[in-house]
Amino acid sequence: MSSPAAIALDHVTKVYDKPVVSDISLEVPEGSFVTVLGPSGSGKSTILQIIGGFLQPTAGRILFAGTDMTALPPNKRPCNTIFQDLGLFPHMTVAENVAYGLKVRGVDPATRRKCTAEMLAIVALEGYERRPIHQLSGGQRQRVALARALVLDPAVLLLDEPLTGLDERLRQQLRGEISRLHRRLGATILAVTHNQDEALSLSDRIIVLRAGRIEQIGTPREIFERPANAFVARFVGFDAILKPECVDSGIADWHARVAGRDIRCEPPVSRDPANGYVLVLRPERIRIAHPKERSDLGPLTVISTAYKGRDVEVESRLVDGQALKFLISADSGVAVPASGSSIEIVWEPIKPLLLPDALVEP
Amino acid sequence: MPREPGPDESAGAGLRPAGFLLALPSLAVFVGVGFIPLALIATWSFWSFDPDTYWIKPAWSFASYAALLDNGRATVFLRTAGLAALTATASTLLAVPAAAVVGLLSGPRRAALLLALFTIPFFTSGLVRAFAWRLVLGRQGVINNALMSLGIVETPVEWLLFSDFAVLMGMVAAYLPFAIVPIVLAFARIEHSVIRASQDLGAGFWTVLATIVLPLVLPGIVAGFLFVFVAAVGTSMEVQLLGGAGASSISIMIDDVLRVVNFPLAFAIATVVVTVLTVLIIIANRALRLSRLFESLGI
Ligand SMILES: Nc1ncnc2c1ncn2[C@@H]1O[C@H](COP(=O)(O)OP(=O)(O)OP(=O)(O)O)[C@@H](O)[C@H]1O
Ligand SMILES: [Mg+2]
Repeated sequence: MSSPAAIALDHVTKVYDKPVVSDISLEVPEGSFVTVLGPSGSGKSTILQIIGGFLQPTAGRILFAGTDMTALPPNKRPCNTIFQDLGLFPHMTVAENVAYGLKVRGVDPATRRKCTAEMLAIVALEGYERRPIHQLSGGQRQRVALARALVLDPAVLLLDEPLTGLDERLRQQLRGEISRLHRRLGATILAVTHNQDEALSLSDRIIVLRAGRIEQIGTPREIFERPANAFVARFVGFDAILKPECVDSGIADWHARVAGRDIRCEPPVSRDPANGYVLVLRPERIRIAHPKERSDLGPLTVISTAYKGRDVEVESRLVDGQALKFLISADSGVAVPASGSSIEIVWEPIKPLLLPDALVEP
Repeated sequence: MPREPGPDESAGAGLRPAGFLLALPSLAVFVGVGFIPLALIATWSFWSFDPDTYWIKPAWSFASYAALLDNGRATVFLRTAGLAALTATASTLLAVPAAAVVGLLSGPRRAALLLALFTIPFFTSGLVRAFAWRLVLGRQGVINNALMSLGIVETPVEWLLFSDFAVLMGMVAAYLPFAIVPIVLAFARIEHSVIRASQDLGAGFWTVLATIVLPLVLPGIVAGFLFVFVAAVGTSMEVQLLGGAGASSISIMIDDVLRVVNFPLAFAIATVVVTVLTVLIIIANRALRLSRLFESLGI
């Protein structure tokens, strides 16, 4: 851990009429794949543009391999960006697009041709050399953009929503390609996305962003199994959230009281949060209790049900007025409850997580 | 957003019946006011003048074309073309930076406003506009008065008015918007992401300009040049009001020929001019796909 991080942000802030990036410090270790995960408008693209040099931060420094490059223009920075809107050159062919960076660097034509051909092979676009850009599909364009950046063998690659807007099959294909390229070329990659699956499958480390602030940094496992607070939890799929009346620490388990019922919870990681605790669960882990079964929570009134293909989403309400949505597997053979009926639910052996309540906008 | 392939690439499918019906009104206008008069003029240029009726008769001859270059008409052709080229060059040189400001620096709303400002000269008649230059450039004009009161010159500068310089000034002022509009369209078509990408790939300011901006704007520049050139070739007012003694242009020449009722010659001159300009435009369009400029803008 002695070599400096490939990219480091040091207390970076960007203010337009209001702050969109607030005091962000983060490090991307050399050779790693780090993903910034956050909802739309949380400042992801802004961070990438600050790293790429297309925006000046209001305060803070950007370091590449330990060197402060905050004042350098984009063309002097040791990184390449693939933007959300790719910016392919419309007046050039595929091959000319890919060779552009080499040409700017004064690489001789023979080497240029060789590198371009190799890179087009890697992104599976052989035979497309002479195609104009406007005759390519969306996925092909994305791959041209990838090839155009990768041909320069950048030490650092920045990806802004590399897979957004593609159909599911292409997404998986390109995701596989990016991950293979990462391993093969050994580049450091910083990607931003609002898609949790993308972040999960590609990264060594995930940074969860909310309104320009870092909510949590961790491995995919940590983020998805131990979210730091209710915001992160909801972002990674803990959509069933309950506010307890009170919480008691126990010896092994903690206990929370919701709508008059005592619920056993995992002991919280962070204690005594400012806004109190919430209980979070993955909605697919909840099921309707059999009549004879000991339930974990109830009674709940079913408000509505919605068929979601693989699952049926049940919207229900507790006696204290809290809403709770959960999923029952459509092929589990469990009867879908009628609206207005009263049910009890079970989630044992899983225990809800107790997390700091952070759902109110900061 | 990915751009749809232009209509010119739809594999020469031709017009389908419904498309043909829809195109019919505009096709009719095009044929009626565009093609038919031109065809008549071209045809009549090969007829001969009938001194008995003072009109043309259908006796085929090339006499008019043979007479095209007589009586110093060659000079008028060349001078008109030269002056038009000069006007077009000057207008284009002025239009590029103006359009760059409009197209690159300001948002769509301000671009529309600035573009509207450039058309203000057209609110007055060309006659008034040309005449106004006399007040600026004349012996007692604004410029000479200023120069003399500043003591830069003692007697009025003579070559300002009734000279090719004055004609050039008048024409550039009149036709500049023709150059600006297509260049603005070309600038507006450059997506910011494209420039950002080229910077990201290592291009500095001048490289971006040379490899991205210029190639993408070139069709607009050529279109602007051609617009001004075509308009300036057809001019007569600026030459008449601001030109020196004996200054002429093709339009003035046609006027003179019509005065002596030599219709076939007038038609022959017109036919030659229209043919040359058409060929120019076709070549430029082929080479630079100028028509793409006028595809829908994503503004
Ligand atoms: N030039 C600007 N002036 C003012 N506000 C801006 C400007 N550019 C971006 N913003 C604001 O900054 C915030 C963050 O924008 P950014 O593009 O970084 O979001 P993002 O996380 O990339 O979102 P998305 O997932 O939708 O791409 C947004 O609220 C946006 O409205
Ligand atoms: Mg973005």
